[in-house]
Amino acid sequence: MTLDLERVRFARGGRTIIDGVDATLPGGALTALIGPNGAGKSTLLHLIAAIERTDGGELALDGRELGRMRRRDRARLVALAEQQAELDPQLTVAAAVLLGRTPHLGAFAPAGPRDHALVAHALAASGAGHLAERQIGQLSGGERQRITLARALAQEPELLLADEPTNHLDLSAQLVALELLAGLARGGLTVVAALHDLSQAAAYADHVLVLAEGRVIAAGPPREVLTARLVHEVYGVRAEIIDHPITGRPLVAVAGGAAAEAATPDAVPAGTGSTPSA
Amino acid sequence: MRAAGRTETTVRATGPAGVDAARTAPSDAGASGRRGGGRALAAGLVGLVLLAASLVVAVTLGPAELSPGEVLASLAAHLGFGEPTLSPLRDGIVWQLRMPRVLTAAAVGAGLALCGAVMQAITRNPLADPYLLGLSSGASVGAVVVLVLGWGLLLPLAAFGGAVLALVATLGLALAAGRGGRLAPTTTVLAGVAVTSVFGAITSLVIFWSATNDSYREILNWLLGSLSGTDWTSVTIAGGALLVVGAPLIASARTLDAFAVGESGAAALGVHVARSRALLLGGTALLTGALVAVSGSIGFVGLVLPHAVRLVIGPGHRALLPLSAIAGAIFLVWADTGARTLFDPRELPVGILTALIGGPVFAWLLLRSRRNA
Repeated sequence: MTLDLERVRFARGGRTIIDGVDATLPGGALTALIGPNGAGKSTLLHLIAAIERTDGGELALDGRELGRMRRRDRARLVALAEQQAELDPQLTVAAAVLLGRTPHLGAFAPAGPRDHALVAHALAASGAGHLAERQIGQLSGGERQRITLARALAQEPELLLADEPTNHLDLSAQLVALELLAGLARGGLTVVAALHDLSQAAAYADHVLVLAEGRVIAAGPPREVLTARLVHEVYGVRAEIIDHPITGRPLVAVAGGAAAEAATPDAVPAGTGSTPSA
Repeated sequence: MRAAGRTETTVRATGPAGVDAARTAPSDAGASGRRGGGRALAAGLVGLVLLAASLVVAVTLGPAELSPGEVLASLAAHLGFGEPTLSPLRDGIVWQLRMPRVLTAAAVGAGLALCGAVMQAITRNPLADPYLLGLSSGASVGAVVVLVLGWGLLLPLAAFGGAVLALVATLGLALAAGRGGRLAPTTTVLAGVAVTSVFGAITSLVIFWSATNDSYREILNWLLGSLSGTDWTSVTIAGGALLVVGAPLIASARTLDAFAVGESGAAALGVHVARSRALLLGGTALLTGALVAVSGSIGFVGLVLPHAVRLVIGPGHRALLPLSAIAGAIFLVWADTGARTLFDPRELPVGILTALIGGPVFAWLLLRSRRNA
């Protein structure tokens, strides 16, 4: 399902955080939302999930206005795996993931076999099947991250939003999470993930949306969007984009930050695309 | 669109969420969930039987000895089954004195435990109890004023009025201090602290200024929480409030469950967080106000009972809310029976007993939770 954002605005306490975002995120694809801290990535995800109300603009999933849906109907379509999700430490993992079924269950109907099967499968898919009987309070940060993702999967969404899903995960678990998201996208789910690692974004995403100061700076396939010039413009960091020796995907080779650049003023700041220089 | 609800038993073969293998999943989670459900149901049935037995046995206890058979006979006669077999005096003891008192104790205990469980969930504060929003302090002002003036008949009305006044003050303060017209849990709790302090001071002032020996004893009895002097009106007030407000509270269990994943998490699950919280707070306050009006502020039931029940059946509110209500009812029936019989002919305010039992139980729960953490 294609997600269309049109002139989306959001301000809080007199400060504009999302400043007129226009974007079309392709359906059945993994879109990486990238940008520096404070760019508005999390806020944009919160707006799409309707946790915060926009101050203007429209959000539509396959042409259906998200803002006009009933909350419960929207929660059956859109799931959000938050960055630092709160979880009651007393809950068991299985109970916490079962909460993802909330929008599908009536007030009195107990969770049925299908709900429990979905929970078990979501846990297995997130690499947390062995944790089902543990208590949330006993989990590490990385384990909690997987539970949060599993809960969003159990929600059976058409649009999955993940805010830094690799946070707190070790390298191999990061790849498991990214491969899971990419695999879900291949299966037809629309996935939007806020990511910090540009090379991971380039390696797994079909589409990249670059956000800075609440505005869209660039959008498109990773190879077109992720240029040395863009990395410098957005992050103030010198980098070259090279081909990954194994996968052939773009690899963002970082050379130095703003401080290193100030020390060597004659360095080439905004690289000239992917042609190697010096 | 998916047809949720009707497809509970048919696992979709494929799905965009990639959960296509659900059919083959071993379903550990399912097993534990169903086990939990069965356990809660069993606990509920045992609880109801215990409650019914407690109600009958508690009525037999007291200075005039009665048998359970006599109690049941009187009950049957008054409900229109069979002829009265008891002497009018013994029947009066059952029907006019003990039965209303025991039923009021059950309704108040059930309501307080239920409100405590709900408050703990919405404020996400394990120390929350039904009086958190300053309700009991407001009720105390109303009650003390009419007791000092000697208008005892108006007591439930005045106490309820005071509770509503305190609630309005707390919510008004919380809304004024909160961001963008929302009730933030922490701000609400802190506003309750401020209101409790002011109303507590007013109560003390009224007592200090104008209470005489007679009214002083009466006031202290009420402040400590007591069920003496309850009649069928008390049963109607407490029981009616429990039915009218308690049922929707129990029906909102899924919403309360969703609060366990935080405000934004609950919103992402389709919960209207601000509206649900306002409704639940309002309902809890209304019920608590009605209970305080008939019993004074009985402490510890609303705080401790939900924790004790949680230890047995876990934190899911669909089981926790009804079982807390049942446990609260049984607990207060027996605490009040103790309060009126242990030091016969003197009667203790039941609040002293609940605090005496509740304090150590709570301490034990704390130690236990530390060992488990």
